[in-house]
Amino acid sequence: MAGIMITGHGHFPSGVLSAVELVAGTSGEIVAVDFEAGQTAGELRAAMTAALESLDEDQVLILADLAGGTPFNTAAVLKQEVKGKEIRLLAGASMPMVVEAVFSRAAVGLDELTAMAAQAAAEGLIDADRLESGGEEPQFEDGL
Amino acid sequence: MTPNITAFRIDERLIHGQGQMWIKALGVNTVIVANDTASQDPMQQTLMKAVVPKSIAMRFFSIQHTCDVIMKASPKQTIFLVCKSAQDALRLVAGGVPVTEINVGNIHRAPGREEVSKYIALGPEDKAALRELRDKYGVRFNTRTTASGDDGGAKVDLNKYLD
Repeated sequence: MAGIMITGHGHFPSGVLSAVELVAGTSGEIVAVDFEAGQTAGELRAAMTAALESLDEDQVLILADLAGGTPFNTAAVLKQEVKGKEIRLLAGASMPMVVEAVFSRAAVGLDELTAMAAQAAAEGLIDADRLESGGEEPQFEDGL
Repeated sequence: MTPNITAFRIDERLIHGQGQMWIKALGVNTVIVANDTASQDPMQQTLMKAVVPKSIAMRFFSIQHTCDVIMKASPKQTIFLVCKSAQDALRLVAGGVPVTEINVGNIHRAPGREEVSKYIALGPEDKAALRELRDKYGVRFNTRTTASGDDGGAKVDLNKYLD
C-alpha cells in the first residue's frame, strides 16, 4: 500500500488534508508538508525528507499543489535522490485528487493509484452551468 | 424477496461530500434518496446526481413511495438508502422497509436539541423516533460519520441518550 504526502504553498497541504478527513475520515500514512512564508527551500526539503521517512511504506505518492512551484520542484528532486522508496509525483493537487488517493490506496499499487488520482482530478472539475440533469442511468429490469 | 439494503443512513444533508464516500466505500449500484422534498425538487436532484458516478442508479422517492416499492427491488440491486431525519427513518421502517441497523450520520444542532456528538444533536421528537425504532422494530444504531477511517463523531452509544 502506498503512503501519501501532500505538499504545497501556505497551509494548502494541511488544509486540504483536514477537508479530506472531514468527508473520508482519517487514516494513517498520510502526511501534509506546508511550505510557509519565511521558510527556505532548504527547510522545506528537510521537512519533506523527514515526512517521507515517517511513512513506513516503500511506495509514496506525492501530491503537490502547483507544477514548477518550490514544493513540487523539491519533491521532484527528492523523487530522484531518496533511496529505498518508489515515489510518484503529481502536480495540480485538488480535493477530488487527494480524496481518490486516500480512498483507493488500500486497493491498488502505486502506478494505478497515480493514474486514478489524476483521473479523479480531471473528473472533479465541473462547471455548474453544464451539470447534466438527465443522462443515461442504469435501469434494473423488474426492479427499482 | 427481501431487498439488498447494504446501508441505511440518516443524514440531514442527504447525499453530499460524505455521502459520496459512503457510496464509493459500500460499492452499491443503487442509491435511494427517500425524502418528500427532494423527490419534488429537480435542482436538489441535479446537484446530488452530479457527484455520484453515472454507473450508479439514483432514485429520488417520497417516503411513502419508498415504502410502496422497496420490496420490488431487483435481487441485482444493492442499495444505499438515505433519509433526512429520525422521524423519516421511523416512517420508512414502520412502512415496511426491512432494516436491522441504521447509521445515524448528521442530525444538525438546533434549539431544543441535545448535542450528542460533533455531528448529532437530538430533540425530544428525534429521541422518540429512535426509541420506537429500537424498541418496536429492533433496530440497532451506529454513528460513523464516514465510511472509512476514524472521525470525531464515531462511537457514540445513542442508547445512552434515549432512556
